[in-house]
Amino acid sequence: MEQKAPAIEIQNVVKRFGAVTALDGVSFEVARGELFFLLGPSGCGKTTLLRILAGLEKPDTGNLLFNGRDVAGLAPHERGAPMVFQNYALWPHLTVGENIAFGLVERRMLRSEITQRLESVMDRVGLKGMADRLPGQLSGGQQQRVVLARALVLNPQVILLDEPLSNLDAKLRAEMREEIERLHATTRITFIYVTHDQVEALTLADRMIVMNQGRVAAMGRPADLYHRPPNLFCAEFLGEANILEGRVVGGDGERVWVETALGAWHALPRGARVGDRVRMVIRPENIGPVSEHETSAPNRFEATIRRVRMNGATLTLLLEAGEHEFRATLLNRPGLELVPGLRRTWTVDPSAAIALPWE
Amino acid sequence: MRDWRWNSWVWMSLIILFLGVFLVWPLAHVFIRSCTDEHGFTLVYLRALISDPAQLRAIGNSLMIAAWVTAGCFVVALPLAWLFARRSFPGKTLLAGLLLTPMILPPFVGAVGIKMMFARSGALSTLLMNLGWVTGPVDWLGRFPLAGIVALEVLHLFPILYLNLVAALANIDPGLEEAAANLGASPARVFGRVTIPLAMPGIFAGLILVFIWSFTELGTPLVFGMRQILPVMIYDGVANIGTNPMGYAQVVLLLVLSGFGFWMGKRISRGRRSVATLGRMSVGRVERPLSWPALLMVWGGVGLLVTIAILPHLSVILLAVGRRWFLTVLPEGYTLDFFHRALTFELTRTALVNSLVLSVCASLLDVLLGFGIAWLCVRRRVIGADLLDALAMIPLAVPGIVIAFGYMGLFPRLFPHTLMDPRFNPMLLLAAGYAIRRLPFMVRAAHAGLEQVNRSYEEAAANLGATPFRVVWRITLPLIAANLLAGVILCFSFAMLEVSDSLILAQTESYYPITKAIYALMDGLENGVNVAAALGVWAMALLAAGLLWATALLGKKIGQMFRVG
Amino acid sequence: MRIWTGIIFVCVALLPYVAMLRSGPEQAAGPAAVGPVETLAVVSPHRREVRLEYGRAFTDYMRRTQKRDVSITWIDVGGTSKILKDLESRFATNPDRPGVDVLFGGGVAPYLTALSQQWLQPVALTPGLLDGIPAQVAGGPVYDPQGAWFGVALSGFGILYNRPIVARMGLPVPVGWEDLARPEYFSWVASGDPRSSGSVHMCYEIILQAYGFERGWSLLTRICANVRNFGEVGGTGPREVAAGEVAAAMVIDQYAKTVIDSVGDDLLVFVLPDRTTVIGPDPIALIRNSEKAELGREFIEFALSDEGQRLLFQPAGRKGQLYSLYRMPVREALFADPDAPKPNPYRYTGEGFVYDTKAAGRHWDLVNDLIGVWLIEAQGDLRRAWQAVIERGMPPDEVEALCRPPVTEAEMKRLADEWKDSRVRLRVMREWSDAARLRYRRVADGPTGEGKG
Repeated sequence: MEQKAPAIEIQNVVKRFGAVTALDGVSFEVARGELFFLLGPSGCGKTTLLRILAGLEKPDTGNLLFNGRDVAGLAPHERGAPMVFQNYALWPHLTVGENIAFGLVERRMLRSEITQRLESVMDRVGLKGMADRLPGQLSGGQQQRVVLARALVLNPQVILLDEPLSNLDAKLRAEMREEIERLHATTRITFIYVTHDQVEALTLADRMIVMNQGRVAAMGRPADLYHRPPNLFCAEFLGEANILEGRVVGGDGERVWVETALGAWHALPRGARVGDRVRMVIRPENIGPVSEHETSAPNRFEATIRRVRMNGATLTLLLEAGEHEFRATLLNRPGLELVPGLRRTWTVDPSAAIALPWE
Repeated sequence: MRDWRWNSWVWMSLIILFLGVFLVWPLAHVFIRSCTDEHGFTLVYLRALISDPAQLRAIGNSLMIAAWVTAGCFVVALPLAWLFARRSFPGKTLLAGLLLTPMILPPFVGAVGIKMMFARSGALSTLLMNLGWVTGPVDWLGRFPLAGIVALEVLHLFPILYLNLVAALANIDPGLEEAAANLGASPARVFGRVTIPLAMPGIFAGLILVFIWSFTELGTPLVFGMRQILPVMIYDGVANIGTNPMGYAQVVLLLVLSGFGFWMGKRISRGRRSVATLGRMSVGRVERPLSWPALLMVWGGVGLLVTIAILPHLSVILLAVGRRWFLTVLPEGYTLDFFHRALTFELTRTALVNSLVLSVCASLLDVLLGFGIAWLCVRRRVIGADLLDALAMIPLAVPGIVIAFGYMGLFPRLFPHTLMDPRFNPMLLLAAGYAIRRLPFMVRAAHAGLEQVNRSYEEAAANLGATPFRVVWRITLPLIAANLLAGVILCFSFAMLEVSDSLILAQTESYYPITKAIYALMDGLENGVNVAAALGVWAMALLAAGLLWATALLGKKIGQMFRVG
Repeated sequence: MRIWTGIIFVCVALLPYVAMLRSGPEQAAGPAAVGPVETLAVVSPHRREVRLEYGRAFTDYMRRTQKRDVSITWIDVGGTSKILKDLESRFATNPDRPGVDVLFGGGVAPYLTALSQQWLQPVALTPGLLDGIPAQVAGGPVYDPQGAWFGVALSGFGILYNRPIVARMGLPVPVGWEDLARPEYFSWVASGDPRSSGSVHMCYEIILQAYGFERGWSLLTRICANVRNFGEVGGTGPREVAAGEVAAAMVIDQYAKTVIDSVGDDLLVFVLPDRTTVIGPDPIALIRNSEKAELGREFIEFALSDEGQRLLFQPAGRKGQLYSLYRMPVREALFADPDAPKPNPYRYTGEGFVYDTKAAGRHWDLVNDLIGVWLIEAQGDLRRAWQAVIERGMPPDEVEALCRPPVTEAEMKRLADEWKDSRVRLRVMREWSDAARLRYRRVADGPTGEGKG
């Protein structure tokens, strides 16, 4: 990402609820204009983190900087970080227009300007002409748009989104995902987006952190984290992963050689050194069939197809190689004669086998 | 989220100051004075309380009344509660509404009506004589002086118990009962072994409430002319409050007994609640319809009960419009003169104005306090907020007579000839007393409202830049306005008809509120009773309208207002 | 629904206030107050009608004669005994500022008590004001020669009965106190509590004096045994008679006349027992350390003036009077007025007996407690004993056993002096309480029980 002064800095934030540690020393930075994701399973502390950013919770220790300014002491209304609530939190007693204009009224804006901004934002999110309805009369997708509009209309530096799509059905979710992407692209407001859905994160994020048990498990761009996960948790959380255990026996600085039950493999190391026990992470789509005769291909192994599942565009195979099981995903082309019971040779590109140190 | 911001503390300190001065201090004073005199600490007075036969008789009488009233209410309310919680039948809503009518009549106004109806030369006696069933007038109340009080209080209080019981029965997971039936228990056995034990906390809490209220009731025995009743003796002792610590001892006894009962009720319901309402209902409850014969019986039975229950109302109305009601079944003629007199008497005019002022002040005070407390507890969760909440609920367990007695004993001595001296001007203390008495209503209403309002509504507002005050003003208050309004209506209506504070604190006629004026009128000789009844008719209308509006605002939750725990 | 019920509530709540604005108050509002209003705090057991008339007339009088705006704050703490307790409490907590200026009404005896406690302040009236007021009525003083208290009105004590009830129940028509003691009247007599009502106490005291202590006590015992239920205040008796709860009661004349007026003289009759009743004054006095002593004196002088005296008997409607008070004035000349009650009580020679005000005052508390313990608190047992005696045909020895005085007249004199000592009082009362129960239960058990004892 461009090297600007970070819009948001989180430094070593700790938050405990009684005996439970929700956040255990979390630190990261978000650059201006980024669409930044906080991803993690439920209970990992990501929502708590978002609420701390909004000022709805107070961290026990740690610093919170917006544009280099410490905001830890600011009350929620002083943060200027509007939030898109998971359950929308649309006030049932106010109309759509009043809901959206709420923050503007709080900022003592002129009536004329409020009207103008209201119209423009409603236009932008596709709610034209609905200003006088009550939230209860809207569909789920429309409600979601109102919440977004309520934040956008303030033209803030940052918008916090707390699982904004979790209450929508699959079709709407895809639609809204694109909508959010479009809004972010046109406004270039910093978005901090909390979700437990890795697809959402991988699709939308400029950068993201993966959280586990109150800690940052990984941080980076979606593609990096997907292809070269820094740890097992990240690998398994972001998509599917086959695991092959082994020991590093040598390397050439770029690659390492790993001794496994399926022979010697070439792999891309992520902090593994010679002599370390490692786990290799192999994404299913990186396992492919290879001709018996093409002996030059590295990382070859023999395996029997146990099960074949067709997904449409892809095929998922369950392979059995000795005591190991692998999942492989292939593009579903006509003429592939892969049937259960067939035994043949498979290969993995060395750059797609990531050797992680034993944890 | 615990919050240490200064505005929470300001709110909290103000509330604590108010409760401290007008609730805790007088209670503490009562306790201290009961065991000290000019020579220092002594238990003489408390001991005299349990050794003097006259005192013992008064305590005995009061306990007896309370026991009979509680038993009576239970016998009436349990079948009703079961019926209305478990069965569906046509006209259920109407009957359920009618069952609550006794609540709209302040019992001590009802006492006036009942007294006339059951008088020796009253309607019932005359009716029986006209029918030839008895030869001479029957002296119902003279022969059974306690029975009149008990009957009237049962009629007045059974709806409270009924509401508690319905809630207790409705809270039981039907799956638990179905399981019992599935394992071979007959309906009666299911009721006895599963339903009743599970409903016990609610039942018990309701019984305790009825017991305390009837034990501390002042107005009804006063009107019936029973002097040997603990609250009446306390009332009589107010005149020599400065010289005789006996009154303090009586008040402490009252306080300790009702406090103990309340504590027991709380304890029992806390211990058991987790079982009765564990999680969600496993199955929805289906209300079974009644068969035709059963329906007829229910209509007949409930109709009869309602008819009896509105006898006091009827007699009050007849008193208010009847010309002379003596040795006749119905009054000899009808007139609106008494209403006219009620509006022209100096006494009643000032009382009406006084009560209006007092009730408005008390309800405003209650809104501030009640909302403040609920908000601090539910939203801010300030340290000590739970204590505040508990403090605000004390008036449920503390009889009004105790608080008023505490005011009388404490403030005139410390602040003579100021607004804190009820002998000088009782308005401030009356307003404070009314507010304290009805505070639990308000706290509860605000609590219920706040808990319904999703917190994220407020967070969203703060998040969009509203200051805490603006959040409350623009989001919280509008969202719970209905609850607060219902609370205000109830506070206002009940403050208009508050008995014990008014009787004790108001000592000069120009400061009489309505209830004291009614009492003074009943003592008057010139048809005062009729004028009092005319005021009573209006009071009934006011309470009825108030309950109606509050019900319209709160819906089914209105029952919560009159529930314990 | 919410809106409609709201409108209904607001309408109901506002109804009396709107109606109130339309119909004027019972007293015509005078010209608006010019200066600050002076208030006089008057504690009084008088009925509110009396208070209202005096309050109104005094404000009017002061404005007319002195151009001062005054109003009276009436302090209502209950009957005479409660007033005495209230005064005691006030002087105990704040002797320099009792907060009360004038004591008005309630019979002579409480004034003697208050005087002995030094709660009263003698007043020097305008010379000549007392000229038209005889010093004595029926052998008792009308005012204190030292000026500590002045009678304002005169009261007579008699029997009020309900004619239809007496007829219907076949009771003998009462003409004297003895009639109320007859067994036919069992449960048909009403009475207030002499401990809290001065006028009720007067009736009891009159009987004790008129018949002599021993016969008087016997009579009182039977009357109290006949009482249906002791009410608290003096109004209980007349109210219960008017309501037909009982047939008869001993009452002060003004109460009787008030209920007769409101219920109708076809129902109620008031009789003065021949030769066994008294006429006594209802005084007024200034409280010691009153902050408004001068204004208090004005009020006292007004009450004794011709104008103030006329309020007592002037019919409603005359000179702004709203209620007829049916009282007898102390100014003798006013009895010539056609509206004045008849006959002139100063002509009452006191044939039969002379009421001893001093003695009555001296043993006021003692008599209260004696009656309280023996006849009121033990009334349950007393009633049962009396009923048993009636059922057995009233053998004279049983009646005597039931009604014999628990103390002799000589003992009464001695106890009256010791009665200030609260320990003696508490001890003796405890003894009486036990003795009373024992005696009544024994009598109820009949001669067999008594033979053993």
